[in-house]
Amino acid sequence: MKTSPIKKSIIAMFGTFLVTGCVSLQSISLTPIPAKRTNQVSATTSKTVFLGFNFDNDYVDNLTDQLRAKCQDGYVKGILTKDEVTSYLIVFKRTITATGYCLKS
Amino acid sequence: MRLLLAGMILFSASGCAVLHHVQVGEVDGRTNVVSTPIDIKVSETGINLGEAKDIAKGLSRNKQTQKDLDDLEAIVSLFQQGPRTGNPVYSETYAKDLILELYKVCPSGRITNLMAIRETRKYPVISGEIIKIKGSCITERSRRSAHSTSTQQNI
Repeated sequence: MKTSPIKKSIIAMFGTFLVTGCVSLQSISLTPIPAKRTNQVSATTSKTVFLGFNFDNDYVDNLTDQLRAKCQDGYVKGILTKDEVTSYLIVFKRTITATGYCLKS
Repeated sequence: MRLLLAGMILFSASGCAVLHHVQVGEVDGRTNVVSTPIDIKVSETGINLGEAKDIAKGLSRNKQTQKDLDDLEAIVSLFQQGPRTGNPVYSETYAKDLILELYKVCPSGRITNLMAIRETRKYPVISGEIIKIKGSCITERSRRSAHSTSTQQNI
């Protein structure tokens, strides 16, 4: 049974949607890791961008404030900062994650 | 008219911000310190030769000129090989005084909550290659209170 060109296009389109949603790692950084690693804290910030139109990067500014709020009266050390992009064909989601260890002073 | 309108829309929408790299340093969450925000930005103008070539080709109707522009761009790009973030700049040392700028805003040098951001502001042909440093200058609250008390006693 021959498949019509329209059906082939629809199948190809669905196949494309299935393989999108791919995650790529843009950059990663790590600060010195403390010996005491019992209390892990994490902060995440993200932004969804349509067709690459992104006019500011202010969404990353509150990353350290989130970490400070989760570790009051302490230090956050051994911070792993991960910058990743998830692509959904024409929409991109940029996610910055900072994970560290809270040490109480 | 439609072309002009499309061009204006494209120009206004093309001032895009591209985030290349974010790095977070150690975070000091103590409440018995005075934390003064620090925000430093250094930047340099970057040039996108590919876009400049495309605009020049669009303005020229001579096919030989268009071919020459392609060849010229190909030759120049041979000298711009290698990994980089954003567009090439004329002076790559624009960030070398960043440490001095940090000491200017925080002479004590007690800096924490550092976040380094490398981003690009894209416009047609040119771009702003930006490095931002955000952080906090720490001053001990107890020392300031003791200093204030001793100052009052002297008066």
